[in-house]
Amino acid sequence: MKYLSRPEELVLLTIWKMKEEPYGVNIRKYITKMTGKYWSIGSIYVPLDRLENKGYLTSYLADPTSERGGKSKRYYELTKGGLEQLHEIKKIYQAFWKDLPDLSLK
Amino acid sequence: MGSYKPPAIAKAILWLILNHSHPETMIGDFEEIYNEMARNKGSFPAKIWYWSQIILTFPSFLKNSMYWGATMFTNYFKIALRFIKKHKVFSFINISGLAISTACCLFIALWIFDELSFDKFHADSDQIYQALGNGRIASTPMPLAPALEETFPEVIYASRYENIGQPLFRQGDKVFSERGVVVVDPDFFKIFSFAFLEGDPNTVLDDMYSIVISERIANKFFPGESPLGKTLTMNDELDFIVRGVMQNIPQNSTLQFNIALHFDIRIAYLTPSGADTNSWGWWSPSTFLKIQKDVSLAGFNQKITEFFQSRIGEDDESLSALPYTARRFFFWNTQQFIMIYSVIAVFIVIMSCINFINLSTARSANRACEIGIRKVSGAVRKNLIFQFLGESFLLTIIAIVLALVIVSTLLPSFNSLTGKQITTGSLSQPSILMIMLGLILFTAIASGSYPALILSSFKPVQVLKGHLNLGSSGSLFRKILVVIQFSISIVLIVGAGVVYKQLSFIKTKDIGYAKDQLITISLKGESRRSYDILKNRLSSDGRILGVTGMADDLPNFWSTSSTAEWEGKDMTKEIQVGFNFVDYDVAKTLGIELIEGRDFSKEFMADAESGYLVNEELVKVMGFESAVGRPFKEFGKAGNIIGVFKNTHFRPLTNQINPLYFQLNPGRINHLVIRVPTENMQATIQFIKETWEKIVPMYPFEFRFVDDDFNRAYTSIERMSGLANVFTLIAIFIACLGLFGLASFTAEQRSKEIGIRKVLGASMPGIVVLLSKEFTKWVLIANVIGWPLAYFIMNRWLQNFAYRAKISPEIFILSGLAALIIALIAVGYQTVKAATANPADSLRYE
Repeated sequence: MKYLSRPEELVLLTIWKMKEEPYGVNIRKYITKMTGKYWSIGSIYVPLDRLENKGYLTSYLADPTSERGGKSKRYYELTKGGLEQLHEIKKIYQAFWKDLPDLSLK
Repeated sequence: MGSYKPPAIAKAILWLILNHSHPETMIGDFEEIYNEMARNKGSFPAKIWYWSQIILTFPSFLKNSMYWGATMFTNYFKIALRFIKKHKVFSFINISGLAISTACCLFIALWIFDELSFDKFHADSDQIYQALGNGRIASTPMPLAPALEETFPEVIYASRYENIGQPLFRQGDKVFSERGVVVVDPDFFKIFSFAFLEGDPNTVLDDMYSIVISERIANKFFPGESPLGKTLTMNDELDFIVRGVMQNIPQNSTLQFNIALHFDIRIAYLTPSGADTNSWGWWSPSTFLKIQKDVSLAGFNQKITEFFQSRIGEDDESLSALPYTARRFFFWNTQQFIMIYSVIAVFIVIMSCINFINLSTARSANRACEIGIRKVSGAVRKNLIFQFLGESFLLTIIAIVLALVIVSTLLPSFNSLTGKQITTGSLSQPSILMIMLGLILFTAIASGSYPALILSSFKPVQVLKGHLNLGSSGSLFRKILVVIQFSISIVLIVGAGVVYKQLSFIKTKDIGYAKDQLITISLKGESRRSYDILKNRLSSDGRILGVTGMADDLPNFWSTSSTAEWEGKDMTKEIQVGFNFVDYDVAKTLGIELIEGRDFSKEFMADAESGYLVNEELVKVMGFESAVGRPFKEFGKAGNIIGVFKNTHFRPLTNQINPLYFQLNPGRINHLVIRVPTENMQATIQFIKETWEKIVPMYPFEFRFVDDDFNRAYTSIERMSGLANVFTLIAIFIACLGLFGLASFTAEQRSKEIGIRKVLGASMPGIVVLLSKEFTKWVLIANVIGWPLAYFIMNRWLQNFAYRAKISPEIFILSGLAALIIALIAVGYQTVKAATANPADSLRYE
């Protein structure tokens, strides 16, 4: 399997987890809420692009709306490969975290 | 809901810089967030946010585009430099051709801009006009200027201007005879803003005995002191007080003078007694006007013409105002040379571009692999076009740097060839910089785009397999280009030949008098009063073939009048007739041929009172079969025609021979004319000098050869044609460079064929002929195209002359032969090299 970068992982997780319509603005909102950090629009699209190229995501266009200046929303969905990838990530992390000693900061 | 619009400019910028696979989706996201913000917080913070997003995007955009751009650019640059280094002959031909052609263009541009700058330095140059009679005659009636100023409110100032020859000036023990002495009205220096070093231009000529001198004259007479208020004596008769010193008049002024005097001096002292200086029939000075702004020229011309007709009592005469800034074009005809040079410049640039195109496409085989690899590695056609255009830009820029070096080193020779004073500083004037920029753009794009399109169209699979089909269409295109180059060369050679023929025609044409044997000496003051003694002493010597005197100096008689009367003259028509006042023996001394009657002679007492000699043209105008004995009257002297002389050129050959008469009038002699034999000329002139110094020792002995003055009239044409010849040679050189390059390419392409032919027994001369045959064919085709074109152009040029040399066929044949020989020499080296090569070398790898 290929390893993903941290932003890619987070974006992939977000799309899997979120209940709202999965397009740019909502993805950014969700990921900002979850991480508590600032994400620019560009920093969402770079991992989105890469994930799409790697085949973990597919996208399709919805109808254009006026509040978007006549531009369509692009919805993202996990592919089967993307789902497998998430399982893989979870498995690896669990293996790593299993015997972890106390992490509390003394 | 949702109709907040982000700033349009910001949106456009965003479009440009977004580097993403779905830019429209991203833009949509931006817009949605913007809308939400605008709803919640107002549109101003939303706008700030939008803009800040763009600014934040910039660094990564720059990094992406610049970094990769720069990387590729260094690669292109490196490859281009390597290619230049590897193919030295090719690069040398290209760069030197481009550099020479650019240098030529810069020289031509400098020349043209200098011509265009003529007379523009006056403060109100657009308000200054020159009055011309009948739309072309510079001489105007004596009272015209004051009358125009008085009558028309549009005329702010008017001034007459007339050159008064070469008087003698004395200051203490310094005596100089000066050219460029003019008489003008006091308003002259209000019309023209010639720069003054001392004195006030507005009042400088208020007093009749004032004199204005140039810096050069001031340094001659008053070195190291202020000349203001000092006295200069003219012809030992008149004292003038220096009231003003002007800067030397710049070279780009059509009016050139060193000394200016009040016009009343001419009326009071330089006019024959009894002449009516207020006569409208007496045409002599030029008239300059300063006219109010916003005056319609057509309306003004109409008004002054009507006024003029009422004054001179003729209704077929006209008067018009020529804009002063157009004067250079009008009287010097330089626009034809501006045209010729511009055309040559364009030709030369085209020729060097053709070289570039030919050599680049011919050499494309060498680049084929590189192009294949680039395409395989992902280069799209756009990249390759960019690369090859970039290469031609690089070569052009190298060439222009070389051109600047050439121009700045050759500028002194250029100046001496053209008689201009252009400095290297004028290379940095904005218009020249624009020309340079234009040249770079034009040459780079014109010469780079065809190879760029051809080279970028190669198919990588074929190229890398080694199946490079350069195609016959490419070679046909190259042949056409070479034919164009040589057609241009042939036009230029024929042109140079015709100009040369016309110039030698002018110089060797029998103009009707013995100009080679004549010298003239200007007379003034005491020497003028001693004219009779001088004449008698000189004519008593056996070596001297003739002595006479005249009012207007040889070789050009410009004076005309319209008041001459003869039997049966149509008094309603104004006929301008040229005249000159002469002394006895005029026909004998000048060597003009009398076809009827006799020369002025002392044996006929009546000659002094009433003798006239006329030329054939005047007889024709008068309409007589035989003119001798008929009455003729002018300047109050009624007399008879005693002789008719053959038409003689007393004006430059650009002019038709005009009707002309001589009046015997020893009192009006200004010039001593002496005919000396061609052999022993030096000794004879020495004798004249000694005689002069015995009789008028206080005057320097200054004489002129009529021949020199005659030729001087053609120096500007000669200079310009000299320049055109140089450019022609350069154009041919560039064409040859291209041919040389192509020949080397052809020889290389056919090296295997030549090898096989040699193995099968072909002789070396046979192969040379084989290779040269093709080039010969192109040059012959070029002749067929070039000849009619050249004939058409040169025929037009010759219309400038009233007397023309014939365009004979041998010029065409000779220039065709010259082009052929030059072309064969250019290809000769390469063909001989190819023919003598060892076939084993070229066939080794088969």
